Amino acid sequence: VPVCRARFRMTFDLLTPTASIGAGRGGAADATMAELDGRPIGFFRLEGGKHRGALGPSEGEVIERMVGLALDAGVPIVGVVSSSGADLHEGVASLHAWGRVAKRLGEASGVVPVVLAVVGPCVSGPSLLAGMADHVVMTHDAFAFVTGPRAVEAFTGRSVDAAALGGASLHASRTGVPSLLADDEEDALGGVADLLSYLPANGMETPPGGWCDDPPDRRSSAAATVVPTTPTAVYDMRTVIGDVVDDGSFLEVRAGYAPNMVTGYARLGGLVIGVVANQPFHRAGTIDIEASRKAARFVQSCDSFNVPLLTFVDTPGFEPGRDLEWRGMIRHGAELVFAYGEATVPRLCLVVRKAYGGAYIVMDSRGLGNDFCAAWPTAEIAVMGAKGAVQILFGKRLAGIDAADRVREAAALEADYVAQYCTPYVAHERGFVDEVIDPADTRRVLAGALRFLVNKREHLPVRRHSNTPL
Amino acid sequence: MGETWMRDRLDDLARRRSGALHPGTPQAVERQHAKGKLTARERIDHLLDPASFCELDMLARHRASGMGLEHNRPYTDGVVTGYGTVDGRQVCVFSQDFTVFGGALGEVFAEKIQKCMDLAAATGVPMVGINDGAGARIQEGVAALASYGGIFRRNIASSGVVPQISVIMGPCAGGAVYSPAMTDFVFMVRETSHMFITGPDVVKTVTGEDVTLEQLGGALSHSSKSGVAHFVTDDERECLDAVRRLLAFLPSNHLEAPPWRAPTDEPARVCPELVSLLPATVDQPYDVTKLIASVVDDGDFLEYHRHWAMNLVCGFGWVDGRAVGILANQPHVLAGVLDIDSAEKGARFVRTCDAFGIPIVTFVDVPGFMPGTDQESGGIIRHGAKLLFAFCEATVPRVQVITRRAYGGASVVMNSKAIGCDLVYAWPSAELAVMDPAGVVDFLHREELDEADDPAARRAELVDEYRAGQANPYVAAERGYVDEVIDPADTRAVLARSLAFLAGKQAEPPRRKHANVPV
Repeated sequence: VPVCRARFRMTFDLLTPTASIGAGRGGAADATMAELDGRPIGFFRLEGGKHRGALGPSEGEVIERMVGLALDAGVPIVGVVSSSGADLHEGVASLHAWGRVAKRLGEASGVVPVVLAVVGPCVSGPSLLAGMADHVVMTHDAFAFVTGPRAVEAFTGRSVDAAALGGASLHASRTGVPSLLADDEEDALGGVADLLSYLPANGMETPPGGWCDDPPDRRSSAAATVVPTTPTAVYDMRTVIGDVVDDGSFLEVRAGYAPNMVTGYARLGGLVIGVVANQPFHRAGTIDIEASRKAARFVQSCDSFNVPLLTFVDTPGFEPGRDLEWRGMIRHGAELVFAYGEATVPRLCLVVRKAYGGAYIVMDSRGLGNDFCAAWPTAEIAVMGAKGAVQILFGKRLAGIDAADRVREAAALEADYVAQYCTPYVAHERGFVDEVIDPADTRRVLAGALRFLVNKREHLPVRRHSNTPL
Repeated sequence: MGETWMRDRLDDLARRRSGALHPGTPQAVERQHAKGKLTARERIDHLLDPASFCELDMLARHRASGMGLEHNRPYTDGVVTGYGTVDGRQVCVFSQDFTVFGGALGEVFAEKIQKCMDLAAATGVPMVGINDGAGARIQEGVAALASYGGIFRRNIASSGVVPQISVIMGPCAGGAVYSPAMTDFVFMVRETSHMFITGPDVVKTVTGEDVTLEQLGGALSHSSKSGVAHFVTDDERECLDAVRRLLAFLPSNHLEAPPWRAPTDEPARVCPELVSLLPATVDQPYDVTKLIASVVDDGDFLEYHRHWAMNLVCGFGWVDGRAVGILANQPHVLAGVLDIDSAEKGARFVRTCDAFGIPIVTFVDVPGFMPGTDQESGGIIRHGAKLLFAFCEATVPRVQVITRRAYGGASVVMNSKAIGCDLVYAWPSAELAVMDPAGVVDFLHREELDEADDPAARRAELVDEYRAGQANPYVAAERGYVDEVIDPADTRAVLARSLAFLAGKQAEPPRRKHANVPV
């Protein structure tokens, strides 16, 4: 799985422990105040000990205390995990211990970033902690599962090894648990530092940044030329993203999972942004369940930590299919709608090419509340494609004429429809698109809009929490 | 002269109103009835208390032109909106009218819905939406489409503020599905309601699959496979009755106390039937809905997602007049394990209860998570974490009763003391253990078993020892993970007094924009 990685490392001493917390417990967990890449973090390591990193009461207490301290201090929580799971020798006390850790991590969610580096096993109940974290970095030899090979064999009769059940590459492509993959522990910590370089220390701060060698008004000429002239031809959206954002600043997360939707962090004019983009290179950029969930979690996560959003749109629509509907496309697509609609960070949207029907609305349309929407002249923003629309609008008339004429007539009507409606201009006329721009001006326009919006404040109703679909 | 003058105008108004009351052709109304469907207004009349409906924007009409639209401007624009009462409590309602433009959503249609949603949010009353429409009105083009955005934003802003209920009583396709999907509860009617993002024709064209409308997006598919529909009924009247029943369990908004109704059942009623509920051995199933029926007032239980992820039963009931949300592992289905679907179902239910201040009661009998490559590669780590997260986050009163198995990680996730349950009770039959006793024995005594003369017999012996020494409620009770070990017959009485005690619970969630819930 290719992971593109852009490093903004400031120091060579990546991890510097400062003051130890809860040393002397003698368990498998160790926690310290530390600096990662020069920024304070709460750091814990769950590894080794008597039972291969098993999490028992002592380990749980150490981690719990560290999480609490990091929460009080408003600094990110970073954990390195290589653990055989709940400590069986300690019985129910082990369960209680990791349950308490989960509770504290739940309190930390959206308050300070929580990033786990899984560098070995991460199994049984405590593996769910990885499911709660904002980001997980896994080394290639790491594995994670809730129920191990022994139980799988006992239950299903199928023998399976740890890598096939929950290896890093499986997770990277199938489950989306890891945001990044890494070669070894050091590389994993590098990945954690990379991720944190785009995030503030806590939800009350804005992301770090400000510097930029790349002129914000640089013409984005590469982006302008990459999109093919035929509407069905494919291209790699990451080329467009890479050319629009600050040179080399794009860090793609969960690259191997649902590649038809690209998510990642970048900088634009020195300001951190989260990028969400349809990827015509994979499945023509259609949106399916995994793509929706990937983007939904990323949008929600950016919003938690005040990272503005930039969305690139080029999608023919949702992927059709019986199984997809039965697996709950509706519910999961709604997660993405919800995440965007709830986001109060500055939201920029660029319609590159196709934006049809429900998929147009979902990809941070004006109706859903984007703050600024630009479109390229190649944009096609319409209720549906020409074929379907002509069928609905003129189906009766077409049915009344003979076959040869019908084909010709339908083609003419479709061509009319395309010329009149499959453009950015109808949407522009109604104010759903703010500006139709020369693609080469994309970087300048978006960087300007972001600078304007960067202090945006918007408040949603005070409530316990919303009830997002899951 | 003044009187005639006014009378003329009243006649004019009456003519206009009559137009608005019958905007569709009689043939269209007849077709609606022939399908077993009610009209938009008949539905509202059935849902609300008699004569309580007050209509808004009855004389609204679209302003669109082109494609012949300017010559066809019926009053209401295809949706009836307003407010009224259910059991005397205010609600807002919209009802899409399939007899006008096939219920297709245009700009004015959407404005009416949005106005109604704004009023519901501002006044703090539930919003009930009845959907029976063909999607975006294509003649109005991208403007119609964009109107969905305004509805979605209101769904999201109102989420967790006022209860939002969607009733699907006809087609609901394409972008139109997302508004219902974001609401708290979705009702569907068998045979006559359909939800999908892309219809059978497109599915056929793109994938070659032949699939009927009912298979693709009917009530059965969405209630048993996709988990989109929470409640399903056989006909529309039954459906609207069920909506009324559900509303009784919900506060009007998140600031209101959860509903209370005068109890008709004795709070300390002894439940002797529960003493004999459990089968003879720990791996035999029983139906947990019997347990629920015993402990709630008058056996009255409204089940949520009854046909989906049935290994976890969720629903609403009353305990001594207090509305509660109940979650229970169902040993009858998949031995009551937790899997991806049940974790998602449970998580959404917990968050729904928590958002509206409804106390949560859990009955735990869980052997663990479902093992398997499908579950792991399907992302049980992320999805299982949703249920864990939902409980960690919940600040409403929480009570749990452990009846039998509480094994491993799954028992932590099921509302354990560790993740914030206020009061934990266990029956003497409870087995709290780090994993199932046989598994623990295999793990801890592998060498001994390998060397034993009769491994099976030795194993059984060790398992019994482990049960006696560890897998019981008393080790946990010693450490305070269980507050009290109770006689099953007292379960109802214990719940009633616990909920009464916890009614005043105040707990502040951390200050944050929102949590980053696993998705």
